[in-house]
Amino acid sequence: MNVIETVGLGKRYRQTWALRDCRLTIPAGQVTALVGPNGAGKTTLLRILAGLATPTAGTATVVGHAAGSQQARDAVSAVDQAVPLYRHLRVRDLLAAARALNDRWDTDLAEQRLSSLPLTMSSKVGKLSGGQQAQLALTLAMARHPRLLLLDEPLASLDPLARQEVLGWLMTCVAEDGLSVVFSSHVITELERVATYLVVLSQGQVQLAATVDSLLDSHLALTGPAADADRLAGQVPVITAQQAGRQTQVLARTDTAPPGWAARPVTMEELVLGYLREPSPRARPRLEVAR
Amino acid sequence: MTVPMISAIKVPRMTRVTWYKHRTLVLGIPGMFLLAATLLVIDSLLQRHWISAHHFTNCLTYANIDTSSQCLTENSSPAQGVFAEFVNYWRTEGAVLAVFSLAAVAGLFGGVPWVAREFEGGGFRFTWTQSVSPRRWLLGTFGLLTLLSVVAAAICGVAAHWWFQVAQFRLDGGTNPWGWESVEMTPLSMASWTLLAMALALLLGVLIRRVLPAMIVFAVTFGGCVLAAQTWLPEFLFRVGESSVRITTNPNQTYPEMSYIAQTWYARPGGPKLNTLAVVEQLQGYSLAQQDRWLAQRHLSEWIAYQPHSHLVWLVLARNGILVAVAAVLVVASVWWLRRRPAE
Repeated sequence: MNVIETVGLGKRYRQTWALRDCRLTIPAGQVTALVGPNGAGKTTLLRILAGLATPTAGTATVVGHAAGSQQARDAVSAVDQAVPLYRHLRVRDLLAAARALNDRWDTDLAEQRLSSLPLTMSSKVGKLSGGQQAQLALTLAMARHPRLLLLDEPLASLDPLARQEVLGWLMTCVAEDGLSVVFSSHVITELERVATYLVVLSQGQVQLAATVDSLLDSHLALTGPAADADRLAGQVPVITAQQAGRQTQVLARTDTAPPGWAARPVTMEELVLGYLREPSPRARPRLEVAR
Repeated sequence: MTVPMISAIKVPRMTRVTWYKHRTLVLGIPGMFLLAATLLVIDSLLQRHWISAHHFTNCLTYANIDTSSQCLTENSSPAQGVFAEFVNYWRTEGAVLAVFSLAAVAGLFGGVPWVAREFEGGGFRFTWTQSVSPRRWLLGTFGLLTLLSVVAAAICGVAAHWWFQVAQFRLDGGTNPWGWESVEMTPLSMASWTLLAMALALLLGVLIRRVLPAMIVFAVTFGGCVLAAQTWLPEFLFRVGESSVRITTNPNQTYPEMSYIAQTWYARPGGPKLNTLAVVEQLQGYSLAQQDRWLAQRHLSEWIAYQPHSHLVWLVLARNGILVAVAAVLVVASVWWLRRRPAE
């Protein structure tokens, strides 16, 4: 089953398309890394999936229901990069409001999680640090037991230790509940540890969408003579090429190295950066989504 | 990890959430109306006590006539002087204005901020990512705040109506049941204006999504609504179903007391209306008998279009019905706009 399906999805703000002709399929149970440069359309995509914005074109389906429908809202939790909480409320009241807003609510999970954090129930949400607010927002999102969790750079305000701890907690939830997560972040090394699926967005369009393992298996970093670079392009699909003196470093979509070229496996960061350097999807053959 | 708890929802969820989020408004706006009602009751009791203590009850039983002159005929001259001290136009008019403006205050400081601040502060994203749709969030919150405000406004209207039964005689020159003060100092009018104010606040909050600009636009728009409702709308409504009568010296041929005089004109039998000002100019300086003779010689008759006092209650109902209908349109427009542009 696919947890997310979009067909021809587009969102226009006045004259500018933030997202255009976005076709995306993400299977259930994956931790998906959603990466792309600023303005790529990540936040717009996540907001449409969360039911916070309506698409200008196309359709979006989450957990089998139209994004924004009541069934989709019941099944999806989202934490925005701005950590949307009612800052004038006390933690206790925010918890009570969240409990009232949801048919399904795990009080034990919320209270246990919050008791492990350095905050009191009588604290005003607005007085908490950015990291504490992010932790609170994540806790409220998880206490709903969603089937899909959408996270838009939620860990940016956390210190490295807290980030490790939160990621570990999220992965435990994924393992126990079969939760699907879409995780947007600029810190690729952070995503590398947890992501099983990768979506690269650029200029409002999907550049790449496949499981991380299949992508790493199907790409190689090649090093060879600069003079042979043009010939290489005729042999294997070249994603990007960077010349350094007489040598050329190439990111190619192939699982075997052509003769005369030294090959090594690519990291996720190299893969992402390679695709972001060549942002036009029409410049190369479309990569089939591996499932 | 524990098994998720399915909570039994008894109180509508948005009611509980609105209480958690907007306690100050939920208590403050109805509290404001109830405080005003209490003050009006106290003031009315004091006025009634004064009237009773000075035996001026007769002064309060006439309408559409000069109160002071009526007191003069009913009481001794010194007593009339004492009653003149009771008349306090500015205090009464000021109190009527203050009570009437409570609806605007509710919309301006209650209705506009709750919805616009949700957008401005981004809090709506929290609610919308729970199991609550934007429409439910909007109507749920609006419903509770508005229901409480309208009920409190109606209670305040009851107190205002009771207070105005006496206070209207403090308006110099007596009472006029067709005057704006009489029309507005009723539970129905107070409730209708409050409903309109909250609905307008809702629409502007959803449209503008920023507190201060929305408050400014609300003040201007609501002021326009009040102006239209006090000028154009009564002129239009009070002429619906009006009656006309030819005025003669025959006392049986006249219009009922306390009627609303919509128009006066002169005409020849079966002829068109004449320029009233031109005729009145000709009649200046003539006695009543001379006027009648002058009109008869020219086969002219004087006509009056009037609205009988018995129609007043229906016209006031119609006026308030229009306010409620406009409020309903504003709420529907808010929901439509929110659906069209949820979070952009």
